[in-house]
Amino acid sequence: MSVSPAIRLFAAVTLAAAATIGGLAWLRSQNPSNGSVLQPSAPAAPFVLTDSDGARFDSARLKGKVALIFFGFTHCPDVCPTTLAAMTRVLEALGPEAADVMPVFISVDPARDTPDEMKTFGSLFDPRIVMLTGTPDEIAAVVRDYHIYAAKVALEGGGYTMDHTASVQLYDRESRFRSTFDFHEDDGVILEKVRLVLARGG
Amino acid sequence: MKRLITMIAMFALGSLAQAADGAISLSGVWVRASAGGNSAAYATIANSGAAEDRLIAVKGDVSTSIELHEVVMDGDVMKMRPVEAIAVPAGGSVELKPGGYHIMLIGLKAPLVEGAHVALTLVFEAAGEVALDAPVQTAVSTGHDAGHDHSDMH
Ligand SMILES: [Cu+2]
Repeated sequence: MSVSPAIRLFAAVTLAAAATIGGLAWLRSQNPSNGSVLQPSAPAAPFVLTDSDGARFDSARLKGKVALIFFGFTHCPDVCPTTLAAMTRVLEALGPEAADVMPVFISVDPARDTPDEMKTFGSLFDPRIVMLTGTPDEIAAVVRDYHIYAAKVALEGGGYTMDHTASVQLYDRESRFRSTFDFHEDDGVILEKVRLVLARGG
Repeated sequence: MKRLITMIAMFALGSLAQAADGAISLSGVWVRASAGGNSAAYATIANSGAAEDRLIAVKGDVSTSIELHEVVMDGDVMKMRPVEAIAVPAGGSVELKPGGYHIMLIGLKAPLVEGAHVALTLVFEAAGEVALDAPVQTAVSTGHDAGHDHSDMH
């Protein structure tokens, strides 16, 4: 589905998105393991991770941009690619406005997700999505600070999968938490949520 | 042109992907493009028979193993779990789609590039084997358009 038909739902969707953001969208960021939640306007926790070129990426670079932060892993066959695909379509639909958006994918599987793996996986999606990984300690810290649930689960045929939080966190230009979305939502709803955060200025 | 090819491919697929007794048919079959590692195949499976059937296995040599999986949400946490079988109700259908059931391709032997086809054999408890060539679609696909027109995905 292309985004344009969904945009025709603009009015209804704007209401829905506004209600979500104005209401308690942060409930979606609940971590079932310890019940912690991100509070509205909570500041984005600082981090320094490694991008898919092997360069260090400091979260200070998110300042001035609307950040879409998503945690996943490259061996994920379903929810991660589906979410990154939605991000890709939304970036395209934003057109020039996308210059003010910084989409970030952070691995919860540092054992397998080397910068090279991140680059290969990222090549399937919009090149503007920043693909970040790190050492197990760095990832454990960012997972904790962003209230993300992530746990390794063995698969029958060998190997493992990761259970993890599926929602994307939206931060405003001042790097304050504003909303979430996930792959269940229509492109038009996601787009409107991003636009509402963009419109906050700052 | 691409649209035409897609339609022809889907028509061919629709007519081919039937078990011997004809009760099971598949539509909207697709596999997500992948740069390596893992991927997933999706389809809508319809059962025109008078009894429930169950998809119990999928065979193919695209990857080192193939499993039936389900994605379940626990709050906002995504969990993927193997399932023993996927039931197809009598006179009804089941949809394998992102965020639900999928045929998990574990350990791909080569990247899956859009436009290629993946040979899979679905094994049903009653209907037996159904062979199909699943088209690989861009990773940006929603799958909503599988079996219809996805030429608007650029
Ligand atoms: Cu799976």
